[in-house]
Amino acid sequence: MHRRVRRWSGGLAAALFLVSVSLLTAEPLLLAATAIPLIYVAYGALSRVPPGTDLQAARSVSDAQPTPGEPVEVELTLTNTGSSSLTDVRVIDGVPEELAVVEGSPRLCTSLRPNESVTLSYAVMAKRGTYTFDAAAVRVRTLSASDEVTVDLPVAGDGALTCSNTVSEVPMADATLPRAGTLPTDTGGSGLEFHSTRSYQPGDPVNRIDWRRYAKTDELTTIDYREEQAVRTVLVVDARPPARVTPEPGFPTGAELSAYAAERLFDALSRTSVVASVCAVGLAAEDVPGGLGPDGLAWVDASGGHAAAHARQVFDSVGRAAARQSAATPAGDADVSGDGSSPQPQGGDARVTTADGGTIEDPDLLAVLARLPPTAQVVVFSPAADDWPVSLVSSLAVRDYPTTLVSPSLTRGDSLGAAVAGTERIARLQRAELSGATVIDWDLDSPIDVALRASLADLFSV
Amino acid sequence: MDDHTTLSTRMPWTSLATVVGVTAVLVAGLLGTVSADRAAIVGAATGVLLALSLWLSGWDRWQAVGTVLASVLALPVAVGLSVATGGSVVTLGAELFPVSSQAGVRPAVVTLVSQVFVVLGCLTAVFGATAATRGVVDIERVGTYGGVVVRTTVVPFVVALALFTRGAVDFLQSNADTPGVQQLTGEVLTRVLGPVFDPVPGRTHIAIFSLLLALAAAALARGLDALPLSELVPETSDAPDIDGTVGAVERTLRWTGRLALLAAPVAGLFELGLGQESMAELLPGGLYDLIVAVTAAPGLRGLLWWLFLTGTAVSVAVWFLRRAVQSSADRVGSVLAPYVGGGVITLAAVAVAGPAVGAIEMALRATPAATAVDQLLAPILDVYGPETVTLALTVVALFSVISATGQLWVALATSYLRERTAGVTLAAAGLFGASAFAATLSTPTWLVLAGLVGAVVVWDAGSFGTTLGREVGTGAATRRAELVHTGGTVAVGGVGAAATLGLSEVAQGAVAVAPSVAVAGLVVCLVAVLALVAAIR
Repeated sequence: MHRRVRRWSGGLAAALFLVSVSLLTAEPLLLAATAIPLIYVAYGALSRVPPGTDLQAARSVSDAQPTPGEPVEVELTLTNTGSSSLTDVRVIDGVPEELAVVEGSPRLCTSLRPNESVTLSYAVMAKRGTYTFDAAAVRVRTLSASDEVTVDLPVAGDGALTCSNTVSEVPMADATLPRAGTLPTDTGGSGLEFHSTRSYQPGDPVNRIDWRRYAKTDELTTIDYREEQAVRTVLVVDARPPARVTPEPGFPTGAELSAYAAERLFDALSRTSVVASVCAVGLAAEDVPGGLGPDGLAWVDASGGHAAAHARQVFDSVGRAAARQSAATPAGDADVSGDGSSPQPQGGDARVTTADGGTIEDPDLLAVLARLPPTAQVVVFSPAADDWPVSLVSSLAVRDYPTTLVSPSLTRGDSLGAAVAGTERIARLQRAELSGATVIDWDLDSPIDVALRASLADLFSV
Repeated sequence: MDDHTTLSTRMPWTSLATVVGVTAVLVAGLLGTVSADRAAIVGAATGVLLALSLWLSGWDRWQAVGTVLASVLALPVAVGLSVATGGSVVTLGAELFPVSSQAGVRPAVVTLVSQVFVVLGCLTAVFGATAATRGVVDIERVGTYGGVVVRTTVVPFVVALALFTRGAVDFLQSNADTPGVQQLTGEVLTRVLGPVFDPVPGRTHIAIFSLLLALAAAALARGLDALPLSELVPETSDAPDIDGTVGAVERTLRWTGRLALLAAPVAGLFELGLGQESMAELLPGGLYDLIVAVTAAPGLRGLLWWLFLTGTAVSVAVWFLRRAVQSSADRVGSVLAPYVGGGVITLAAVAVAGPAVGAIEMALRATPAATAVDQLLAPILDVYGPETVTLALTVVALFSVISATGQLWVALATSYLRERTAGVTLAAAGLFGASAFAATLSTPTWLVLAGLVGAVVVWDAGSFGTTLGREVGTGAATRRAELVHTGGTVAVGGVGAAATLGLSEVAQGAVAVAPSVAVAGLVVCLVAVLALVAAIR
């Protein structure tokens, strides 16, 4: 887009002013001095952006697959590949709207000689999802700033930032699993492991008759094996509003981190042919395509068709819920956690009305308990920002469900509030552990795979 | 690429330093050529104060404090403006006049006018550069400041008017040379106020008495209604029943008023028509004497008048309190602040009245207008006193501030001055005008040309910096680009200055040609160049 800016038109008025003053005061110097404004007018009128102007831009992202919450360095290099000097080049890199710039600035103004290049570097905070960079906006002006050309310059090099769950290694490779997806029980029936024998009843399956004994003693007996019940694994993601807090602006919320961990575990389990059910608590109907179930839970059944695709949808919905909330109150999270602290939703921002922690009367908790199959291993993913996950874990323990609690640690910073929040969270995790659950405290500095690997053996052994 | 959120008028450091630095250097240089040193420096300082007042009047955080300070600062600004213009005229007039010959009048006047314009131009330049540092020249702030100054002027204006009236009336009354006016005023006053406050004894004055009674009753009823008497009593069962009592009293008062109002014209007709003797016969003796005693008693009249005043005062006070309580302290403060500032200014003017008037008189005596001082100023001072004169001069100075603010507001409202670059535009215009007028004084040529080029550099750096701040932000490193751009502007200015010097040499060299012809030739050349440039665009 080419635009002429009439900056220097005031020079004509100045020239007329000088002429009138010189006539008034009979001072010939002023009449000669009209050359000054007129030269400026000519300067502005005659300057043009040189036609052989050509610029090229290339972008490089330091880490193409970062973990959420990690700052990613982006560098944009602009080169003057034309034949003329450009005195005023301004460039704004097309940072995706959802990502926040945490260091440096994506804008630059400089002058470039031919074949000279300049580098613009800044850092963005990675969030879960795939984000594409837009084209860089470039504006070139002449020295007199009276002629300008604006273009959207396509940028070569890295154009996308993906913070996702593609797993490059299998975290379960060295975990010993006795029977993937099965749990040996104490009742006898068909199975693999010897349990007991009993006398033959008409109608017992022929392949369970103990032929060796019959050969020795001529008695028909039936072997009972340990029945192996298919064990369901249920992953519960806490996406309620109290969990959607961040310690810093631009950081992913606790709910998003929980969804990320759940997705990693879901992938690991599906790779070993364990199909897990996924449940997200605390979403609104507009977050999930297809709406919520009648009890307000986003539940994906393991045995239904396309379970993986539906599970992926649920995980995406958690991110969408967090984005919807942060778009509605752009400073809300930052204010609440402005002192780098308390994920407690106390005080001003009363945009959510959850109970202080989920008593046993909490509807979400009751809905989860109602939906669980009779035998299931439950893995709860929650930042433990309030007492709800502790109530859920203790309710599950009371009902004899083997439970694991995976909790990303959100407390960062040195302030008093951060210390208080951290202590409260540790207290909750200890209560959960006392009620019989396995607690995995995920410190965000180490990848989730490491944290999960250490406890996966516990998950599937009895 | 544009930032649509707020009007960003911040510019990066380098551009700001260029604007302020070049303005400061040029103003210092130009003011050095003007003879009236003190007036010039005062004028420069006034520019800074005016920018500060604009910023204070738009200070959101402490609105009341900012308004008070802006209002009080209006006086120094006004004094500074007057000193810069009037003071320069007086000081320079003392030097230049009286002139030796008739032909010397025009050059002397031109010199005087030029020096005044140089001072005014430097004042505008200092104001523009200071305002550009924070971007305080926008239409909202200028409007607010204009309102503050207008309200500040109200108090000194009213006081000056009152003092002037009193002085005039005293003069008229004391001066026996003007019997007509004094007698006329005196007679009118007596005729109006006599029947109300000084009734003729021995006869009835029912009509006027009833009117006064009606007024007093109505005012008392309003006052009683306004007072929150029933709300002040606690709502317990054994509390006295104020409500009923107050209501009864109010009803009585209102009915009294209405009846008195109705009775007044009837009684008036009776008094006029029947006359005193027939009334005395008509009414029983005791009743007639009672009516005469009541309606002719001046004390009762006075009492009724005071009741009327009390009732009105109570109603007004309660209304004011109600308005004040319903708004925040800050808002009440910022509404009242200009009047408080005006009061402070009035007191200050009255306090320094004596020495100020003496100083002005002495300064004026040094000029050729000394005879006018004796003829006009001394009698005025005798009649009205130095306080009135000082207050009148203060009010006139404040009016000049109001007019300057109004012109600025109009320029902004008609988009003649763009809000974003208003500060630097004013600075550049001030410098340009000051340099142009300085050429007529004995200023070295290089200073004039430096001033002209410097004015363009200031405007260019300022507007370039503002656009840069808007597009790229003040945080990014843009020094190189700004220096390159400013360097280009200075280089072109240098070429222009060289062309000017060349042209003026040529013009001086063409001595054989009569100066008027040379001037005409140059003007024709100028028009031709303008046409060419317009055609290129």
